[in-house]
Amino acid sequence: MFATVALLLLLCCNLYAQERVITGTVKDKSGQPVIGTNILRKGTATGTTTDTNGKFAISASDNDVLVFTFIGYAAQEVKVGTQTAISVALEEDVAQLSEVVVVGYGTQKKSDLTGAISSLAGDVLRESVTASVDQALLGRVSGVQVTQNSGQPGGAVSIRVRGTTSLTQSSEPLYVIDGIQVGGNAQGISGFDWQGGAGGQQAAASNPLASINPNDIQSIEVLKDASATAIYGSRAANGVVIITTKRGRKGNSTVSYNGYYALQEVYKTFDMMDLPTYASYNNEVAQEVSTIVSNPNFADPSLLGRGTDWQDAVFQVAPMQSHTITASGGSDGTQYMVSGGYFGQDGVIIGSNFDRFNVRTNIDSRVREGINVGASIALSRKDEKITLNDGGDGVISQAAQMGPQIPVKNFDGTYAGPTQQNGSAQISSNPVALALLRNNTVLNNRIMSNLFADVQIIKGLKFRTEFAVDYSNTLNKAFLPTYKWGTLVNNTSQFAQRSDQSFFWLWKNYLTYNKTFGAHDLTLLAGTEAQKGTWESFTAYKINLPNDIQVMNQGQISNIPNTGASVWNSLASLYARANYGYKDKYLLTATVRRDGSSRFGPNNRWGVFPSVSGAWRISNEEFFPSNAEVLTSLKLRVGWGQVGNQEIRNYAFGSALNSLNSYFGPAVINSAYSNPDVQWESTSMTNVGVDLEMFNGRLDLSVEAYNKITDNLLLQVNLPATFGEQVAGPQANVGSMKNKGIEATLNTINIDKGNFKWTTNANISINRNMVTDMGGYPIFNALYWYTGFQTATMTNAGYPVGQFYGYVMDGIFTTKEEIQNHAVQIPSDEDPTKNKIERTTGVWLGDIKWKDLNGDGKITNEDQKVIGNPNPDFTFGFNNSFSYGPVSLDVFLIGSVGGDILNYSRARNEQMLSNFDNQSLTVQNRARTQLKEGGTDINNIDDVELINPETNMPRFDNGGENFNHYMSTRWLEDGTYVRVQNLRLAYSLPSSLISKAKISRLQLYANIQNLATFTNYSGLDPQVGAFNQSPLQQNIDMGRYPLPRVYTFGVNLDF
Amino acid sequence: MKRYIKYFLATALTVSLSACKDEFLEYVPQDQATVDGWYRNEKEIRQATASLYGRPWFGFNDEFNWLAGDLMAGDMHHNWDQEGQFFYMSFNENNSYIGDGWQGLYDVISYANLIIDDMPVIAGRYGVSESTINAGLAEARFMRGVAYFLLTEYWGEAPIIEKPASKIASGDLQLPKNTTASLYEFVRRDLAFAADNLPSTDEAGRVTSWAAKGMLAKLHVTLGQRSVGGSPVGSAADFTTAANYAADVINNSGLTLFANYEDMFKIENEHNPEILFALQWINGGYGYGNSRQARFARSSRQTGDSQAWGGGKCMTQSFLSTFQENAGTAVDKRRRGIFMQTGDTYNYIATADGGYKYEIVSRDEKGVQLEGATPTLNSLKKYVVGSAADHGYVISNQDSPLDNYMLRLSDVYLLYTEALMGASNTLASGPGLDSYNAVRDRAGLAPKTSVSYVQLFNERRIEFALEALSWLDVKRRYYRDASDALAYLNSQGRTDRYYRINSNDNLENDPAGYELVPAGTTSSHGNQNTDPLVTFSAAKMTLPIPGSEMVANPLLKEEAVDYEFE
Repeated sequence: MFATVALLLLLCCNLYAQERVITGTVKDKSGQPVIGTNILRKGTATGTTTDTNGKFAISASDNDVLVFTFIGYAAQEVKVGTQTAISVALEEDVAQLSEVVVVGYGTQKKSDLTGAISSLAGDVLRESVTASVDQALLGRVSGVQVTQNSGQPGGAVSIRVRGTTSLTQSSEPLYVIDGIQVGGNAQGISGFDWQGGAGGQQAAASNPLASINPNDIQSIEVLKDASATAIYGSRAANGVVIITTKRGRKGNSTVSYNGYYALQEVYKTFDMMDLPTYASYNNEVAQEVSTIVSNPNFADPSLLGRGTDWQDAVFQVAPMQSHTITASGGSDGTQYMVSGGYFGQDGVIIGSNFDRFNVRTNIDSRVREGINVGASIALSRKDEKITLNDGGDGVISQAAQMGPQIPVKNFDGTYAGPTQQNGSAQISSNPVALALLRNNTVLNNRIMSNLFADVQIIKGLKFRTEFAVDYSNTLNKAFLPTYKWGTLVNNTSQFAQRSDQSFFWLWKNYLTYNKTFGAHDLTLLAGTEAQKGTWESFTAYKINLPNDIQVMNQGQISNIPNTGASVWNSLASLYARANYGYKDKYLLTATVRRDGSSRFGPNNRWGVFPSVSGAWRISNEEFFPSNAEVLTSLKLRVGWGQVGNQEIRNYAFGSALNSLNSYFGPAVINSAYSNPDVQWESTSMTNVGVDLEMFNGRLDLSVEAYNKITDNLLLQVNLPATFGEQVAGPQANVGSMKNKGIEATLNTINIDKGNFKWTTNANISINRNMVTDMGGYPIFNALYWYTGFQTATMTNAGYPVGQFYGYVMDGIFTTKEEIQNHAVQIPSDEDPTKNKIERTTGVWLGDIKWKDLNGDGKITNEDQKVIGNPNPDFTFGFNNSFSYGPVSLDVFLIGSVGGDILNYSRARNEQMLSNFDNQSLTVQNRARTQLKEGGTDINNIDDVELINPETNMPRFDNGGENFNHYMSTRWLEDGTYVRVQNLRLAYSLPSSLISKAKISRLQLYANIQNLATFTNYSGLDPQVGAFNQSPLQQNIDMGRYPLPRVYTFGVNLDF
Repeated sequence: MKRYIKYFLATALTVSLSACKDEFLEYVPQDQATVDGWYRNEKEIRQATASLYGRPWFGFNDEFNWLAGDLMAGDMHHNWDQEGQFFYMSFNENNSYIGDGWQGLYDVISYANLIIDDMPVIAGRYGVSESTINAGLAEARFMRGVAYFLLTEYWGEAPIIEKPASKIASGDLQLPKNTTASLYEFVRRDLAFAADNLPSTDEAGRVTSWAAKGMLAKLHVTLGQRSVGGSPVGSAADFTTAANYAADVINNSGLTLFANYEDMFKIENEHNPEILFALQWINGGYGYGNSRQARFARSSRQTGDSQAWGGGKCMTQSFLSTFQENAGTAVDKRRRGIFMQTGDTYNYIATADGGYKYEIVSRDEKGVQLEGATPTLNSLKKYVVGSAADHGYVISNQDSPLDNYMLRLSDVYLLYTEALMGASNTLASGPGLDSYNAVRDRAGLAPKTSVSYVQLFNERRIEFALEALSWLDVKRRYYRDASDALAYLNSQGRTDRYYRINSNDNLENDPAGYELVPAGTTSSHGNQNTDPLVTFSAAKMTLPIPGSEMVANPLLKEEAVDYEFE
């Protein structure tokens, strides 16, 4: 009562005070007028807004305080006093901007979150120089492991949010780009297999996010726990990444230019033999193996030059550039953001490049009171030229293994090649010619458009409808020219062209109701959603085209039949969410989604995905010291939820027939065993998190722990060969898997004094994966045929996913006695309990000694075991920013500790199966025998001895009976690394200098990416990624396109 | 305004809710036929069985078939890596080609099984006649029978898989090996059903009842030889059964030997009246064609593309000796069809260069070596057909259309001889000798008045050289007399090879510039052949089950069990 009277009195006083008109201008820091700023007489309801020049006029009296507010800027209060003109410069409020977080189907104040969501501002992402945004997430977000599967421009990236969730299906997260759902699976590229470019080329698959311009991005939110993702139901098991692009703001029209130019280079190559070394090696091998004939040209290696350095011939210093112009602004009624961008990157391997054009228009408009409509429309065109790069017959492997005696080109300018054919299957061909002539291109045009309308029905109740379209067409061309490279001849050129059309639409409608009554704050959401994707492709083949025209109108009909595919899938959903808060202390979120999917049969079409989570803001409790200096905010979060995975092949629940050509005309053949009962894979996750803030925001720490259990794993059953492997196994729900982990994010402001500021962001992710049940059917994965490995990884209950599996090397045999006393590796014909000691087909000095793990006296398959784990113990990111006035310096480190790598590149370069391949310099130290004193017969074990018994490199043995080159501990290495990912120095020119040119901001920066890597890994790059994006084949280095070091110079300019 | 908000809302909700109806979610493939909607008539049944003649066999045929069939038998010289392990007999269960062979045959079996299980039920539902259903069934069972026969000959014991879909549905994936006797009986039933239900004539390339009877002749000769060797599987009566089947084919099928042996391996003659069963390859992309040319051809000069991986492959010295001995002083007309040697010109290969002229070492005009000497100075010919310029087919994707012959009439002729010879060691008269002499006659060799078992064996080694049948013949010889077969294999000298006598003379293209150095010896010119002698033991006469299979299915380590026939 007293308060009311006091208030009335105050108001009365005001009424009697003398009023006059105050005028003024509102500008931002850069001096630009801020249009639409709200100006309020404090304590009253009267106010006004600034006009298009940032000017305003308002009646006020001496005692009044004017409050200036504008979204994104810190509010300012100005006492009127005796002033008649007031000019205000608003300061941007970073804290306020980051306070709102995009969640599924809405936004929430960060302080109200109950689930695990990491938010990242677009500016942070742009500190990395990358073609696509997912690459920029590397090391930035706790709980998110990013590996780039290929350094090829535009290459695919694997992202694991809190570990691998699915085994044979995709573990890539769902991306939601301005409301449009996009799967994270890389799109395979045709042409490689067909061109003979088998193994590993699928890793070069195109990245679905590479069509987005990183400059357009306002923020990225990563939804990590089930309570946050449950609103996306059946597509959410692998986490959700929400990407929001920039939108226009009232007033404040700006035009900005962001651009950079960069140079990239490989910083490491394989140490291969030069010509004299290779010649000596060949001569030695011809001595060692009678079926190898010595090359007369190598008779005197000292007369030879250094020969061709093939790696030098295929790697180049390559430019990269990016230019984006953005204009944004708007009036009270309509706001816009338009941008246009170009990105161009040449690969560090000759013949590879990536180009992209982007155009984007984002519009928001008020059509009637209470009705807003808007659109986000983005067009992109990307044009990639992909060499045959990763993989065993790719350019990188070939460049390592091509003999140095062969020149790149002949005197007449034509490409050279091997002069004497290998005795058998060989795939060596001139890698320079391979890179430049065997063309593989992908051209993709894509429109992503989302239209929406918001309708305020009654106060607090809002209806929103969104209709989104994602249309994409892709043209993939693969060409094999005619050539004569040495003895390798091809007289028939071949050309394949694949065209893909995909059309995806999504329509969602939902109601949001918000009501505060007393201390209770309630938000309810309920909606429906339907989405459907159709995809159609067509591949055609031609032969005998001219080498320089690769268009379907050329050449002749090929004998290879044209192929096509046409599939669709759909999802229908209902969802609801309630957010409840009491006194800002207790927060509760409950979500449920029901999804129906075309991927499942009538028996199991629908799935329900619930979640619930709560938070307790302890610091808002009365008992919490209100003026605590140290701990200023404390929040505890707990959540549980269940999400699904539906990404299986279409029609797994039924039996279909594939068409194929036969001698008798069109024929049909069974495609797969069916499983009518196949159902949803479901992941339940419990999450506990603590958010604390100390020293008034100087230190921000979030720690989360989670336990994630995936049941009903969707597995393509790995049938025994006796059921035929061409008929695909049924899709079954077998087994379960666990991921548990801890992750922490720490942001600190270490120093903020005067002009100097030092801030640190650090994050660490620890995940432990464990397969708990596989229904008794472990999955063994081999690599491609040319590896000769029967298995490379095993995934089985009781182990983390994708374990390396093979034999254990126990040194090499140095004496006859060692061979005699060791377990039987190759049984003798006379006595199978003894080793066959024989130079060509038996065990010999210099062969690898395999560990007899089961102690049965012989080396068999059962002496294989898990020999390595590709999953890291933990990964981290550590960023320090220093700024001193206009100068800022960022140092960003990333690291991964504890994961093993299968270095198959080294296996190729050291396997010594053929004298026709160049080998690593380390092979010089291979075990070699000589005649003992008095010995006469090099085939008699008693007459020979090792020259270098201390070596660990086995002998040359092209028969391979002892399997020296087999999958074993020999090829595993520790993949631990710490990398200086970015070093960035920026300088903002003083406004006094640039304002004359009407420039509000001009920042120049220089950046070195991938500056230094500290690792014991011997391959080109310890950041390996997943082979073909498969979770079962992680950290396998097949001769992967290395990530280059990038030197960048850039400009950010705002008008 | 409030009103149209209401209408708008109502419409939006109705339309979006209607999406939740099941039609929106009911998936029916658009680019595939469904099994339940197929098999409506004879044409559709035959479109399904047509698939069994090519693609499913590729995995077996691409490498394993010749590695095991020709290399292991000691006919072909080739010693590279895991392939060469079949030459040296040094493979173990982890050799990847062992896996390819095992799995390749089960691929054929699984496809055949799916037709055998689905087709009669569904076709019956559509009212297709029983005879049509049985004819289709017979085709599938023929393929399954042949695949199981090959499995038995190479591995001895293996699981018999029937009704795979229901086994998978019940999780019954791990099955034990079945006994050799069960396997032969299973094969016999499949082939006998095929013989009874296949038509006696059909479009070119399809199997007929004669093909089934020919295969039955081979099955029963095999069983007969087992009984000679004392195996409880098979009996002397099997020779009689085999002879009856063979005689039926020879006398009643209307098929004849093709006059020119070499020409039989040209694409245009792949459907000649000698062929009873062949894999029906098409020039239609990788996996659909015969990859032998890519595997066997010596160089790009023959193929016009880079797929020519036969640069180091040749016939063994052992084969060459048998060949010489068998021909005596006569010229065996089959030779040019099997391998190439100095002095040969093939006017239908490399026609653009005026024909392919065989040289031990060939060089281009600048003296750059294009082709090198093979270990025995010859190269493989069979299934090498040349480039697109020669025959019009672009076979750069390992897809020669030339069929792989699995059963030729001459095979039945010689099986007839073998059946009638039975347990005795010679055959001196009768239709069995006539059929043997008919094969020799085509080769341009004089008839014999009597034939011994070893002569018959050698005749077969030459007649079917590089057709991947040789190991099966070795196996029959082994069943008949194990020590004789092992002695034969152990005395082959398959690793003997030629070396240059003087690398500085100008005789690189003249056989006189080379000398033969037996394995493990050093010549008077200092050429040392350190290659080992290849040895066989009983344990090596059956292949190991692939290691990965043993790991996946521990039951395979246990004793084979008899199969319970329905």
